[in-house]
Amino acid sequence: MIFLNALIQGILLGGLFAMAALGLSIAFGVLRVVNLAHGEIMTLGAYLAYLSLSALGLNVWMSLLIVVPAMGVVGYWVQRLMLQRALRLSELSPLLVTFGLAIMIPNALVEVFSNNKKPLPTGDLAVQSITIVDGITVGVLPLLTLVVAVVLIAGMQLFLARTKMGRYMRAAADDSDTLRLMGIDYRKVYAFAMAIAFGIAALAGVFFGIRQGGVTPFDGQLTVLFAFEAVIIGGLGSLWGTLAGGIVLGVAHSLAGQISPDLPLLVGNLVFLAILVFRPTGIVRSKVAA
Amino acid sequence: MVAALSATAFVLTGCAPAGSASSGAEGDSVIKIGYISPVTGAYAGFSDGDAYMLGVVREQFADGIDIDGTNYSVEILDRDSGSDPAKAGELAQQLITTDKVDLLLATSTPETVNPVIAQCEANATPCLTTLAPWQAVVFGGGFSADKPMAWSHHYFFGIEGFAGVEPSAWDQVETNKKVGVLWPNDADGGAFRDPATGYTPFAEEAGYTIVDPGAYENGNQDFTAIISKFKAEGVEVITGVPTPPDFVTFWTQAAQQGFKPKVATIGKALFFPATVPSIPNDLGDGLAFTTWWGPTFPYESSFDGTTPEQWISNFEASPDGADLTWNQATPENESLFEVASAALQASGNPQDKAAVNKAFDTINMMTLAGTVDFTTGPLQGVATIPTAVGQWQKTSAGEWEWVVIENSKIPNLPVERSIEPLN
Repeated sequence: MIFLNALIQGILLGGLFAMAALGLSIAFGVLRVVNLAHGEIMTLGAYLAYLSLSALGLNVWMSLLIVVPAMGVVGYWVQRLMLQRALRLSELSPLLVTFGLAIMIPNALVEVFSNNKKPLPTGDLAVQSITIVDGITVGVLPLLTLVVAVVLIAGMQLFLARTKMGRYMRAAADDSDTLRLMGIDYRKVYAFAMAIAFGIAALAGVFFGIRQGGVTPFDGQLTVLFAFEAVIIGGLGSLWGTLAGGIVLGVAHSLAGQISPDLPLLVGNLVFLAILVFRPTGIVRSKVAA
Repeated sequence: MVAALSATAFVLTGCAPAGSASSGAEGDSVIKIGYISPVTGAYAGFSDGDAYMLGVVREQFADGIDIDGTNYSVEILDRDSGSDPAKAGELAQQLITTDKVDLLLATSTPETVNPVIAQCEANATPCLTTLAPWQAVVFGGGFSADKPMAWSHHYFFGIEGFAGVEPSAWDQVETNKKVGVLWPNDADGGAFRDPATGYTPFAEEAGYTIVDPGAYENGNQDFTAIISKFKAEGVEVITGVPTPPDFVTFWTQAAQQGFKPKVATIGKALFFPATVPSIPNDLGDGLAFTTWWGPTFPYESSFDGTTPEQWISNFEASPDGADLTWNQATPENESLFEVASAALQASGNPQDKAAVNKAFDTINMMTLAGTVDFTTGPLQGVATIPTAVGQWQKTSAGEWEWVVIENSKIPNLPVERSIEPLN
């Protein structure tokens, strides 16, 4: 029973990891940009939610209606004004730009919001749970997180498969030169993809914030590690793979915790390493196009 | 206040070595004090009141200080360690070799304090530090009773500060005396876990049994295994030194999974005043923690007699403190300057580094952050400060506040009430 409980908690944790990893997966899958500032974008999203709460009096869920589009716009222009320009210098420059952003954002947040934790209250949601059988309880918030992650991934797959912009994105990922020959402004396609990546990252940041009861400027530094691992384990550029990667990582953490509390992060990292060595393409071998 | 200071100085001067030669530049009557704190980075919370604090201190030093009939002006060079040990060390070296400071102060976590001490020891410059568990500074810095710090003085509490008061707080509630601990796999957790010099001997002496699930990693996202272990062992008391996000994760998961201890005294995580109100669903209500400073503490500044209560109201009324909640770190940082000022005066010659260093050994004074006494410490160059236990409560108006519930180490600190069990 304890094992089963650990397995279930691990899967739920995986939902959170997958949600955090999704934006990263899109940025890499379409743009081939490794966004080192991904965790900080999440943090920024959580701060925007806090601002909508404190300034506009919205609740956390309503704030998402502002936060996600706003961060989407930020993502669009970050891609167009910074990353696209950096790309002209060399392939590695965008990486350095995102590294710079990753340092600047939290320190700017400290200046503006101080280091005090800013609350993202959701009443008793974070502590509600459903007891399935004795010994197995499922938290409502982790369950909701997993469901939202699955819906997001399904929605994103539909978007890529069914819409014109989605097709452009897949084309841009596979062969951006040909896309240019077809008369499509690939810069706009890239920027649009980054907008989606930022929007989803902000959403994930808000969920992380809700889970922790609030947000502090340096929260992004650790989450980005889990996000990267989920993306790599799942397979670069595959969205369902990212979900699988998140769940594998979550289960690895919670099962390792059953053996000894000092193991979860280590075992998570070992699983990540094992995937890199034995199956570098990840669990799900596919591209965004698949 | 000037009179009080000169009186202290007069008494203390007698202890300083007479006739020490001047090593500073001739005719230079400026004292340069370097101050290194983590203004940015992960530990920035410790110094977010420093803008206000440095303003107060600079005002105190505006007319300079009189030492042995000479008036010296004081220049404070404040630097940001970025919470990064490498940068802290680099800054200390720059301050010593380029800026030629007479004295270095450093504060807040071993990450900033230890590298500064290392540079001071290497460059024979006096150094005063606080706000880091003294065991982590002394033993963590490679010093010991046989090999004490030669140029550095550190004051703060250590493990005994937690373990000496927490069991007295638990005693106020009837429990089965089983204590579950959250000691992470980091410097603090390791020091607490040490079977000889750690926390356990204190708890066992008080009749409590420690249930240690093991050293989890900071940033752990799933506490299911630890919670199951606590439940299986029937734990009714919780203590430890988790980081703020880890504690929130643990405490919400404990609620989700139906684990309800009767008492919880949590160090470190509850240090920042914003942590408790942020725990979902008011779950922070009733959490207790070890504290070293608060509005009712019987302390006063040696500069101008400011009491903690006055300090807090001045801080909150100032533009620098407008958006901030007061915390216990700011007055602790301020006390560095009080002690430094007293030692500089006691030295007789602030530019004689050996004399200044020696003068610290004679310090036994009241500051805004309590008594700092280097004449009786656990080791050469180390002074400990006393602690008490506070408990968080939500007022009927919906405001969060904490009150003192245990004062065995600070007898003239008023106790508001006894501890209330959780739930």
